Amino acid sequence: MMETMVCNGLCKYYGSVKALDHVDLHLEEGRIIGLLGPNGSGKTTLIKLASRLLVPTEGEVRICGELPSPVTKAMVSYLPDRNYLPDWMIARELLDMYEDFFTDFDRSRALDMLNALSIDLDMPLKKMSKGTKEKVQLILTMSRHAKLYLLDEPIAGVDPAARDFILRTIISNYDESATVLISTHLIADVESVLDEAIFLKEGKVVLHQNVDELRDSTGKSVDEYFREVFKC
Amino acid sequence: MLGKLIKYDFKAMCRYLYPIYIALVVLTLVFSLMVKFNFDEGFLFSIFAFLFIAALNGSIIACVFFTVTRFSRGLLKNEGYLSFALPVSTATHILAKVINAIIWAFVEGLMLCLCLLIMGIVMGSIREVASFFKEVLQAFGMIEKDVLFGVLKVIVIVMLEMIASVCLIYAATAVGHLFGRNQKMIAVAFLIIVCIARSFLMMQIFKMTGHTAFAYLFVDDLILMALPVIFAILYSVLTWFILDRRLNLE
Repeated sequence: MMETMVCNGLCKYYGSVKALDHVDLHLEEGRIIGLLGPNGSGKTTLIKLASRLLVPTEGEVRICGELPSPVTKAMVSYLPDRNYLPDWMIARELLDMYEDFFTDFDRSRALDMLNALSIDLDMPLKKMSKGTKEKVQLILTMSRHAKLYLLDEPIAGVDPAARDFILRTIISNYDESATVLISTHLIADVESVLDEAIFLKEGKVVLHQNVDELRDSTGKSVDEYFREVFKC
Repeated sequence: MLGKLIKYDFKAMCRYLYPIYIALVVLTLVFSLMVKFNFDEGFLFSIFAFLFIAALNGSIIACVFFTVTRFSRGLLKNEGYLSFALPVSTATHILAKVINAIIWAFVEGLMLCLCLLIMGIVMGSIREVASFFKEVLQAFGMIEKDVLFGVLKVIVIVMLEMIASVCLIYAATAVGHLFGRNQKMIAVAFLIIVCIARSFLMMQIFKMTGHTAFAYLFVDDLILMALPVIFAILYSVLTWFILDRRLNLE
């Protein structure tokens, strides 16, 4: 199987604070992987490094064999953990923009999802509710035929019904040859869709395993095991 | 990709500036008509005169303000997450922002010329406006023998200085971004320090080449004309380094 994302000795320091400490990871195609850890464990830093929003202090991250660059950005579909779209734009303009910049953007797929949710294409983003904004962001992200989807806390701060929609959207829209990396600390909600789990603790990978094997070996759900590992 | 970035930056700026420009044209027209028909006294005229001057100055301030905020919002705030996720190099982002600033400076200049034209036409006649521009050109002719060349050189130098100033403001904004707190204060402090350092450097160069500061606009020395280009490149390299190597969006 082809490796979509590889980290070799990846480190990121903010001054004297080690956000990521010698992370080695090999993520294969066709997998949905949970990047799990408490707040401040380095999840967002790892995703930002893969998106080339940060530069490593040491080591490297490669996307489909390439160091992060405009070339890899064309292969990565990134959903940040905040409202990142220009809020003065209407949904239709956002579709135009994604179509302009991303050659792998599937407009008809995005339109189908927006219509299914009855989202007004002519409504400015700033007039939409928080939940609707997050759905629009996710729809745009998942409407690309990317090699790697980096989803940073996609279900944080939304109601349970929206969480179901988000998870359904992720499962039904990612390409079989792609990898989905979902960062979250809400394990119970995402556990059912995961193929693999990565536990990050204080910037270090403490576990990277197939979730079925993890359940078999520990006799616990991923959520239960997570609570045990990260017990305060 | 550069063209697309410029297109979206232009649209983002347009929504702020076009209402200001419409107001400016309307107020110029009203003010000129009031003068033309001798309604140039009393409370109402005072109000319109004040609004006209405010719109005139406001459009210049707004153009500069939105050019700077477009850079910081588009690259260093939440929108930066989208900008830097696009398959575009950091250098292309910076170039797009500089070109956008130049485009809007031209638009601002054109709007001010349009206002002048409206005033000239309403208050006087097209012939008077034409003769005014002729006089302006003749004024340049008194300074330079070759009028066209002189005017062109002034325009080129002003443009280059403008580009260097824009690049400096972007660099200062990027430097401010390196600091978690007091980002704006640090950006302003950097701007002031660089301006002082640059003035000092220019004085030394003028001394060495035997030119006065005023002569800067009219000397034939290509080295002096190239200075704003060198400064613009230096500021842009600094901006690129910070955005490409030290970016940390919060």
